[in-house]
Amino acid sequence: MKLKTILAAAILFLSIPSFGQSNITETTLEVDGLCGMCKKRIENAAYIQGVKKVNWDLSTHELAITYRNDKVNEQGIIAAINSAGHDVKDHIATDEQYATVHGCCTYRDAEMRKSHGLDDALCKPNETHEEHHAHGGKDKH
Amino acid sequence: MILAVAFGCTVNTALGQSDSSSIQLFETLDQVNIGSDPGISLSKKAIITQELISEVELRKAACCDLSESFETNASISASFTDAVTGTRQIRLLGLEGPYALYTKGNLTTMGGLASVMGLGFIPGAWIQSIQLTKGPGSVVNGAGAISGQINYELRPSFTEQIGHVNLFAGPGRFEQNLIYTWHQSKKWSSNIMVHGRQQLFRWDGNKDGYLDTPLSRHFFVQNAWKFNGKNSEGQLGIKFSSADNIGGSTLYGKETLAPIWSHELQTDRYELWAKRGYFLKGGINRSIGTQFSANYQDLDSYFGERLFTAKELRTYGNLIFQDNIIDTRRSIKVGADFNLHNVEQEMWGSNGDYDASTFGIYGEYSYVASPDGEGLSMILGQRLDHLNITDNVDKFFYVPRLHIKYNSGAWSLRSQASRSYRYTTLGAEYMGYMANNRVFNLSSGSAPAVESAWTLGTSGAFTKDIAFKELQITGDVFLTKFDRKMTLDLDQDTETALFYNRSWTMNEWEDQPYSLSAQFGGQYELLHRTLFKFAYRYQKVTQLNLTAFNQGIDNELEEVILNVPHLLYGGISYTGTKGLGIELNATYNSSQRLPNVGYDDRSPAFTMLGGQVSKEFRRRGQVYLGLQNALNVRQLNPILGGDLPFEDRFDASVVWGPIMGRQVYMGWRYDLRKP
Repeated sequence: MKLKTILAAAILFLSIPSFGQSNITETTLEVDGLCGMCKKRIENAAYIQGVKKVNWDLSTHELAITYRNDKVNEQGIIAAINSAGHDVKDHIATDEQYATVHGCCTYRDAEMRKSHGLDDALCKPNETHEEHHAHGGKDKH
Repeated sequence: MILAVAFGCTVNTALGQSDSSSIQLFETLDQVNIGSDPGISLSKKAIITQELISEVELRKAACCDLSESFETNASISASFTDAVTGTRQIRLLGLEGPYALYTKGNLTTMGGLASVMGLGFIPGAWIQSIQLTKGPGSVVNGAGAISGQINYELRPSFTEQIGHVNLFAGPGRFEQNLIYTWHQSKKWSSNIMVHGRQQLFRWDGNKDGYLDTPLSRHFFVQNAWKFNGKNSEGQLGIKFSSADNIGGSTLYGKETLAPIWSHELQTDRYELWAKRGYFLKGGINRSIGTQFSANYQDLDSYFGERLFTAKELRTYGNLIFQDNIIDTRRSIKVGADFNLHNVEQEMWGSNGDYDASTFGIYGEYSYVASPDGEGLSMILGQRLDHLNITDNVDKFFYVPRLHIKYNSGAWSLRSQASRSYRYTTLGAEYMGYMANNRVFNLSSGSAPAVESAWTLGTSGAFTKDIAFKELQITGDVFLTKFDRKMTLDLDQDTETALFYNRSWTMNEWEDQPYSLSAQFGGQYELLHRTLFKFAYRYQKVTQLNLTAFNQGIDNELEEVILNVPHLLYGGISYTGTKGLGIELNATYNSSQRLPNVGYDDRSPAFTMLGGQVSKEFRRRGQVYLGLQNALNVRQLNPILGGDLPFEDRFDASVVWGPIMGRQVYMGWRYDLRKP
């Protein structure tokens, strides 16, 4: 009985900040990657101050993200993912950023994608490297 | 879930299964998901109460071998067995190390001679993860595990992380670990693990003339093979361990006027194991598996004028058949196993030789209402063993076990009622008690004694997202009642020690010695990227009061010595975006009972405080720098009568706290991945 009371009190206390928060945004981003190591890198990069929850799905490539829109915006999160070397739909990382991912996570490489059973990369192989820079992870198409 | 540092492309890679899939054949429990790694986690699906301690968690403490891997975990305490050998033993549910079952990939590894010191033979850097089960687990792994099961997985060979280096340096202590997967093909892979440890400097911080930690040289090497076929899997391996320790007087090897008290221990251990599993047609849960292991250990040691020598040969085999009944929600496992155990030892001047053979058959029925673990699940296991120990025991043991779990939303509730038994290996399990000049009275003989117990346990877990972050709250209560138990008593005086083996009938239920353990804890990411953990543990452990027994009162219980009744743990763990990690851990231990004569009533309470900073670089691995025992707490006189080491009252076996004071350590880890 006592345990239950303590539990209830603890839960009540911890749930206070979540009441009436209208400044919470939940959204999904399409982020390219290959493996479990990519998952960790993507989630780690996106989990910046103001972000509450991240979960990247290896099979759908969707990053589910919950954040406080008064503290951070989507552009900021995308820039953080790009700077960890990962492409977001319509926001391709620069080659310098991409070069920082580990050799086993080269998700733009056609052979690697094939061995992991993936379709085309977000970063199209026919795009020139200059174009990647132009996109720079900031400009929208 | 994201409070994790990035390691390893291990899941769903081109190579297919991660290594942990290989033990599916031998267990019903959830497998380790290496992909998302929260440190310590509780599986919602596991029917038996267990915690998973991942590599991320293991990296949070200095952690040099299995016995030191639980510093951030309140369920297990590790303490020195004595003040000279440097051996640590763990306590789970208030019971000493040998009451737990140790398995590697669910194959029984250490028992008998290695049941205490064997934990020191498993380097932390070799470990991928540890599954900690509280209370007796599955009957498939035998009838032991009175306090629980510690199942560890070593780094696999079928992985993209093909190499690992870990170099560690503490006060006078150096460790080197090297793991390399030298062969990988479609079906076969193999890795080699090497570990070296040296304690090179004489360290006597408390200036009592005795080494705080023994001079030592350890060398372990292992070669493991794994086979992944279309419908079958296999593993085999070989390991060699060698340890060489010198403890006792700091004057060892120097010319002295008076004789000095010293200790030397030299041991070699050889292990060989193989596993084979076939998946049968017709869906999941259908398989046949075999396990086999053999080990030989040779040990020579002396503690002052006392000799302890031992040789052990052990072979173990298990055949497991698993199938569904009606549908995949109901499955059974049936099987048979054997364990042949030969020990030759000389301890406390007595001959402790024995031959033990165990043959067992078992059956286990599992029911899961829903694949996601919601609703009711249960495991009903039964086992019948025939145990024969030379000239002493020739008996059947019936071991029933029932585990029930009910999940509803955020809640998981588990309960168990289990029977278990084991036999003692007197010398090796009580090796810390060699480090004194007490006269040992083996009144019930030096042959192995059978110990058996009933365990009742219940636990609850609550997991829910609060303000978008996961809150975990857990609580459990376990009661272990012994109806056969070996008692060691140091209360008579400072010159003697008494072993006594006694059994109780069902009618004497109230007189049976017991261990009661209750724990309550939780964790929550209170600040961004900062996980807060806390736990409180209560333990009451009793044994037969032999002083009263010798005066004719045969049903009095007393608190055991060196049990920590109240323990508080708090931990803070910060994980930065750029590979920075900061850990802070504090553990408060309340006072422990000490032997009645020649000691204070109780030890002082003390708090261990430690911290670690680590930084992972993109290409240069991870460096770590830590501080242990920041408050410099010490048991200043761990050796009683050390100035007259050949008098009767010399005693280095009663250690309640740390012997070394504040310590700084550092190290470097590097993972080599396939290009």
